[in-house]
Amino acid sequence: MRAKHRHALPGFGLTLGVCLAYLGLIVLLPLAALAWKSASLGAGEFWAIVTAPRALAAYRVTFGCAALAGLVNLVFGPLLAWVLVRYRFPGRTLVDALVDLPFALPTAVAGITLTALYASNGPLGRALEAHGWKIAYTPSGITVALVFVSLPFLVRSVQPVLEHLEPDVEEAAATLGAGRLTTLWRVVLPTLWPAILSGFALAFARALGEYGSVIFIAGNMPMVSEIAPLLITAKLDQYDYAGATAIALVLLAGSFATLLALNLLQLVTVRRRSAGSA
Amino acid sequence: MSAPRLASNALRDPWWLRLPLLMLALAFVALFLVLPLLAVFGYAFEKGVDFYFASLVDEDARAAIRLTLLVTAIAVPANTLFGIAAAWLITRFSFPGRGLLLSLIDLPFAVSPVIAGLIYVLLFGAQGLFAPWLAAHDVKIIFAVPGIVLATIFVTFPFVARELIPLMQAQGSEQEQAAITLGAGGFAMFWRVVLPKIGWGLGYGVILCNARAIGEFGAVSVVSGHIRGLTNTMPLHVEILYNEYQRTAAFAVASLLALLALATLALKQLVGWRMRRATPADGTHA
Amino acid sequence: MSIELSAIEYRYRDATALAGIDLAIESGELLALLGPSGCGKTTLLRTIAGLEFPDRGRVRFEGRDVTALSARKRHVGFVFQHYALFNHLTVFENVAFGLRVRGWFRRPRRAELERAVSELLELVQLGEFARRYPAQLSGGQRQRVALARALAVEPQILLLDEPFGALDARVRADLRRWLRGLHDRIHVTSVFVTHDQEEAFELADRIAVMNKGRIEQIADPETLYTHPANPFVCRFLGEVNELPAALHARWTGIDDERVVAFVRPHDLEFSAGEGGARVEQVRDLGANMRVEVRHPALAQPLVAVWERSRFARSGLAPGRSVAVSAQRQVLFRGDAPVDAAERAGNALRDILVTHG
Repeated sequence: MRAKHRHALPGFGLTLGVCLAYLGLIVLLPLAALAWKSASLGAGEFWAIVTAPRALAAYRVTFGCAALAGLVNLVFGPLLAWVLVRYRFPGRTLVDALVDLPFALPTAVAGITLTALYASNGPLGRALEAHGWKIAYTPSGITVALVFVSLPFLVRSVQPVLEHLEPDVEEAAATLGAGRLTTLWRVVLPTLWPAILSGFALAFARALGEYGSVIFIAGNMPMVSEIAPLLITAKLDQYDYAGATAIALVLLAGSFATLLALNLLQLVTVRRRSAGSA
Repeated sequence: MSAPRLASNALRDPWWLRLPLLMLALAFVALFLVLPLLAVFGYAFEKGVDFYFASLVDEDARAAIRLTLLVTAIAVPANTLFGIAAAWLITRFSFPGRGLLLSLIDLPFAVSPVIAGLIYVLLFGAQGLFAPWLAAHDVKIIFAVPGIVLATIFVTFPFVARELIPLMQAQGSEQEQAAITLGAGGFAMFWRVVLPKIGWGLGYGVILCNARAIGEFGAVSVVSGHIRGLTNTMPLHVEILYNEYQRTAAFAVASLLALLALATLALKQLVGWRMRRATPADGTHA
Repeated sequence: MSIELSAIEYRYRDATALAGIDLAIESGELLALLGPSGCGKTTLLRTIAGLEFPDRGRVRFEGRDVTALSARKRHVGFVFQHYALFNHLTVFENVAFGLRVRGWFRRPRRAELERAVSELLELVQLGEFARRYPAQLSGGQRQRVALARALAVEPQILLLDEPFGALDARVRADLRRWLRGLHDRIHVTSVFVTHDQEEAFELADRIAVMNKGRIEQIADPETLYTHPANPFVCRFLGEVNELPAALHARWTGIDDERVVAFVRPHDLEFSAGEGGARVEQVRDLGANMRVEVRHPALAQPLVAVWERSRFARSGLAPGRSVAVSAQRQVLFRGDAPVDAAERAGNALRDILVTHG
């Protein structure tokens, strides 16, 4: 493809210059520093850092809790979207607005609040510990924080799809004698899967890197409840820049792999949809 | 959002399905969203109103608020300008590398805030790439305000662009072309046509960018050094107070941030409503 | 102001949108660019406006080369297909836009501007709508606002992209006549794009028929209809029957069977009698009757459209055997028309020759 040399609308040079300068300074230059730092590590050294027991434990906690939180929201996200789109009840607009609270509330605020609620002396923590379930300062606490943080992703991916769902498919299912549950399960849910999965991937990617809401409730015990982002800051505090960089690369690889998988999924879905309509 | 037709019986869930689903969803919302929100204010006022205000007018708290406002006042306008430029470039021209530019704009969403902080430490920190030059010129970026501004800009730069790109794509460029054929220069076209067209979407993006800029914790935490009165932003101040077992004071400052979050949600709702109202009246794509 | 386009080429990605366009438009002329969708007519119009820049070729206004000039400096009026009105501005401000964005010294005074805009609004019969917003107008009214806005900068050239495409049939016909009247009054060189041959015929002084990035023929409506340059033009100008024919050379006695006769539905004659053809269907179109006749040698049925009285006189009914003939036809040998001289020297033998 050859670029056109002339554009009818003005501003190509100006906006291109602004974007390149801005992205160069804010994104590319720092990322180059990341690459430079990791290149200064030998392969053996790099491998030793990223496979150290403490690091492996941190990945396990990070990826495990992120996946678990994603699974919880896999159920409650679409449920909330369904209730918001299809049911009419007092306070619906309020609930709809509140869904974005985790986006809008600073993560540190979420972190200390969840900790205060779920700690042994907090109202929820006390009740749950009476039943032998300790939340704060354990991986369960991390999961709770990640559920909070990643909830909007699933609701907001599914909601627009539900809003634009053509009613005639459900009506057709009903006229064919399907019960309501059967219709939801066999007709509505399959059309939502791409949106649910893409919401899940976004939620998962966000949860992998989450820091502020987690560190207060996590307890941060190495090998038990230490997440990978915290391990990075721990290494930075000891001026171990190389170690921090190595862990950061693993974490980045995890996020990129998730988003890449999401893009591939969307590509496949789009193909299948367009092939179906042709 | 436009409500789908709910009249049809085939679309209505029977009560035995409706009621449990609704209850379950509302219980979840109450537990995970409403309760934490109320708890912020509950804890903030647990030692009374006087203590609450005393925590806010504390000198370190005031310094933290000032710094947060300063950082936001730089990061948000900078990201707004970038967002407009990027959206114009991406939606109005086709050029090689356009897809790459789009992915770069999305990048901060995939990067942990801690890593966002880390990359600037690697660049400008004591052992960083530019450390010798910075030391020679006595410029301090990490553990200083410039680092906080940079990290905040990194984390928040996609918001305006992400809001504008789909909007401007959908609006098309015919009005701009019309302005040009009528003799308008780039500046006149921008002020008289583009800005009024994208106004609400721009507002929406700025609101989101602003909320994130004020509340950013992880990235700022890495580059700030937590120097009281100097490099502490509001979220960092909350952290310090909390870790020093001054829980009520921490929640007092946190309640300000929570109020901001509520204001953001309200504005978002309002702007979203205005945008939806403005769209059907758009005659060009009727 | 006259417009000359020479050897315009425009490629979009890997597709050729314009493949060497030469076109001269006279000052004060009203020209239609007619063609199927994707033929490049809109690209050509936008190239004249400076909204697209050709890969090769030159655009000249009154002999002056404007190829490199931006749309802003070409000083043409452009009416967009979907009007592109500024939704946030009133009708008045939409029309005033071009005057307000002028440079400091050329900007009219306030009273002058108000007078100019009011005059234009009267011209397009929208005087009382000045304070409305575009969203509060009907499609036809929006179209006239777009026109007034384009005329406000007193362009020497007016370009219209599918000006009636988005309107319903009745408004379209009214607006068409009104626009023709307007052009006769202000006489600005005008080019409009359309895919509707009826619209082109009613409105234009001359029509350029386009296909696949080329101009197939440019002529006044009468010539275009009676002497189409090739089968594409003939087919595009409306329904036509294609019949195999033969030219009989009188002095050699040889039949040239490569000739095809193109006959319009109202020029087709069916006379009762044994002709090998049979009336298959008769449809009532209101003012006209549509008769379909099946001939065993042809894959497609032959279609005639006659006035009611003529149909009544013919006494035709489905199932009747008929003989086929034509009152008027255009002959093509391959893509080339059979010219009048050749036609005069030879006899059109049987219009329906069974091949094989």
